[in-house]
Order: sequence, then C-alpha cells, then structure tokens
Amino acid sequence: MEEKAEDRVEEMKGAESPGLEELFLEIEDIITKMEDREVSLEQSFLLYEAGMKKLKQCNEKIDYVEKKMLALNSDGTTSEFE
Amino acid sequence: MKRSTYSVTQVNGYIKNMFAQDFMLKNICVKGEISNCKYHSSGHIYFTLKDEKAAISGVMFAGNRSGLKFHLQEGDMVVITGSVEVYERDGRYQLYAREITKDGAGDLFLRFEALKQELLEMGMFAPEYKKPIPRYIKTLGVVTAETGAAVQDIRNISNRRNPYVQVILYPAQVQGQGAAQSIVKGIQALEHYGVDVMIVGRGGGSIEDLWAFNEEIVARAIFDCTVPVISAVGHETDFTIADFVADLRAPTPSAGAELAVYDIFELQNRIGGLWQELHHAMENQWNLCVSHYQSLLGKLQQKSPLAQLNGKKQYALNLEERLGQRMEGRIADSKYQLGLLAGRLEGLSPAKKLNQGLAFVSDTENKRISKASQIRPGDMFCLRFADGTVRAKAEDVLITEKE
Repeated sequence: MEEKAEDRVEEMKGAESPGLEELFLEIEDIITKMEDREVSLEQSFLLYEAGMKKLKQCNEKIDYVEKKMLALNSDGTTSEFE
Repeated sequence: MKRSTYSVTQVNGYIKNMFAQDFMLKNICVKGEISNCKYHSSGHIYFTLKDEKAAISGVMFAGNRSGLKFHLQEGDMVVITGSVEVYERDGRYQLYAREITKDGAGDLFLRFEALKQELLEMGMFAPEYKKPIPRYIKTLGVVTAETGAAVQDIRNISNRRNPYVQVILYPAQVQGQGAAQSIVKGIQALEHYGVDVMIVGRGGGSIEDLWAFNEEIVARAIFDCTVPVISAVGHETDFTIADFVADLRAPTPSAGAELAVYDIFELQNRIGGLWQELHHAMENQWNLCVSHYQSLLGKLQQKSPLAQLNGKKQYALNLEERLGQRMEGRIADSKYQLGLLAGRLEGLSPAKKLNQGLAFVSDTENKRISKASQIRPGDMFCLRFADGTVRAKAEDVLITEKE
C-alpha cells in the first residue's frame, strides 16, 4: 500500500475545521443553554437539533478503519512496517 | 677506586625492582591520546599513549580485556589505569593497562551543560514556544530505530488505545556516527509528510548512546518543527537537550505513545455522555412545557361557562337542601306546638263539658245561644246533653240585672 505525501497533505486540509474538541465545547454550550428554564420550546428544539447534528459530526470525524503501522521511505512513499 | 661491574641483566633487574617497589607506579592513571594501536591475534592490544610532548608505549593483555568497553582506535582520548613496569629484555618501561576509559565522560557532561545553558539563553526552552499537543490525532509520526523495543512499545500502546490512528515510522539511526543527522532528517521528513504529532526518541542506553539527542542540530530541528514534538528518550531519569526543547517530554517511548494517542473508548464514552445530556435537557424542557400547559389548562377549565354553570347548580342544590332542612324543622316545630294546643284545647272541649253534665244550648237552627236575653218566652230551643238532645219551650225569661 503506497500513498503519495501530497495526497495525504490534501486530505488533511480537507478534514480541517472544526476539531472534535471544539465540537465538544459547542455541544456542552448548547446543553447549558437548554438547561435554562427561560428558553422556549421552539428554541429548545432548534438547540437540540443543532446539538444532534454536531454529535453526528463528531462521529463522522472518527474513521473506524484499523491502520497498519507504516514506514516512511526515503523517496517520500510509505510501506507497511512489519 | 675499583668499581663493581654489573651485567646488563643485573642492571635491568635492579631497575625493574626499583619500579616494582614504587607505590605510585604500581597503580597509576595516565591520560593521553592513542596511537599505533594494534589488536594482536593473541588478544593483547599494543599501543602508544602520547600527548603533545611525550609518548609511552603500552599494552593491554588479553586477560585484562574486560577493562575495555569499546573498540580502541587511533586518536582516542583515553584514561588508562594500570602500572608502569620495566621490560627487562629491551630495557624499556611501558604502561600495562588494566582499564581503559574514554576521556570525555566528564567532558560530555560539560558539553551538555554548556549547550543547555546556551539554548536556554536563546529562549529555545521557553514555554511560550511550546505547541499544544492536539488531543485527537489521526496520524502519529515516530522517529526512532526500526529495530529495538521503542518502536514496538509505541506500536503496541497505540494499537491498544486506538487502532484507528495511523502510525508512520521514520526509521532513524539513533546512535553512533551520523545519528543526529538521521534524526533531523526524520523530523523534517515527517513534518513534510504531514503528521499531527510526532514522537522523537529511543530506548535507554549509556550517555554516549543517547548523545545524538543532545546535539544542537537535533534541538534546532525539534524547535523549528511546525508539528508538535514529544521527546521520549531512554528511561525516566534520562534528560536530554531534546527533552527540554520538545513541546512535551515523555519519560519513556511507551509513555510518549500514551500521551500522543488518545483512547478511542474514552472518546466514545464522551460522545455517549453528551448524547445523553442533550436528550435529558430536551426531555426536561418538554416535560416543563407539558406541565405548564396542564396547569394553564386546569386554570382555564375552572373559568369555563360550563364549570361556572356546574358551580351554580351545585350552589342551587345546596340551597335546596338547606331550604328543605329548614322547612322540615319548622314543620316539626309546628307539630309540637299543635300537640300542646290540642292538649289545651281538649281541656276546653264542649264535649267534655257535656260529659261532666253541662248542656249545650242552641236554637232550632243549631245556632248557639249563650245569653238568656237571646231567648223570649215561648221560643223553642234545644238542650244537647252528652247522651241526647231535649227540645224545650221557654216559659219565662228572667234577665239578671248587671250591677
């Protein structure tokens, strides 16, 4: 299995913004807002929807594919490391 | 004066004995540079030890080879512990080595301190330059030897904590000639490849084995690297320049992997926890609204025309009941009164008076006659007794004059 370094860099850029940690903070913020008794039901539904969406984003950020350790070759390619 | 004449053997023997009796020559440490080094097939090592001004030949016998921990080479600066003895056959003295160590162990420490001080003053260890280690990474770079325990430890711990993180090894030479350059290349290659975090390190060893991590070029490569670097060199107690300049220092390669690779199960728990919290918050809001609605509904129902009508009906019923009760009371009261009056009336009953022998006087038309003046002589009238009636005729009427 070989992969070009440039491809990896591109992939990384695509996966930017926002990170898991940021998402968690946003969700916790949403929950705090929802715990306020003054919030209307309509707002609660909107907040809930936004929270669920962000949780989904969190799950999507985790790629559940097991990885083999790779070794970086001198030409920038990689190969499986035994 | 006749002098004694000695043989060469006698002279050399005499000198040998002098040397042998000398306390200092029996056990001496000599510092110098190695030259003319020869490993003999017998296992003995022959060499010359020299400094700028002088030289002494030396030998380490095969039996003392345990006192030499490295391959002795031309130009090595060494400290030799042993004895200076005379070789009688050639009339030469030489150094018999029991132990040879590299001169510079102390030197290395001085170099370490000097570089540490220099880099410290340049601000390379300053906390403001430390990059935070991202908590949730996708790729982990590792600069270490492809053989050895360090890479396996990192692989095992990374797999255990999170098999979805991609580990990329740069197989570097971590000790010996060119190690520092190899480590620098590894850091730069992984930075260019684009990992999220990298571990730079190796397993434990002597100060010489770890030395590459004390080289300035390695320190600079770590400092200049835009990817956060975790140093993981040797054991808990080993500190290298790389540790000071790295964004985070791990005491061992295993610990480095623990710090770099987040626990996937912990993350899943966190997501699950947030999911529950979000649900609870929504459920609470909903329940709050439902109970608010129900309390309003209750209030509204109380005020509805139907409820008001029902209330009035109830009130009417209540009044009716009270009225009935009063009425019954009044009737009972009256019955009682009636009883009393009836009693009294009975006492006054004409029938009773008739029974007692009195008679009721009436005219022929049954109209009561209560006064004598109502009757004229010759009038017919009736006398009613209890047991019958007598028709009578008035003969005379005598009116009693009132006084």
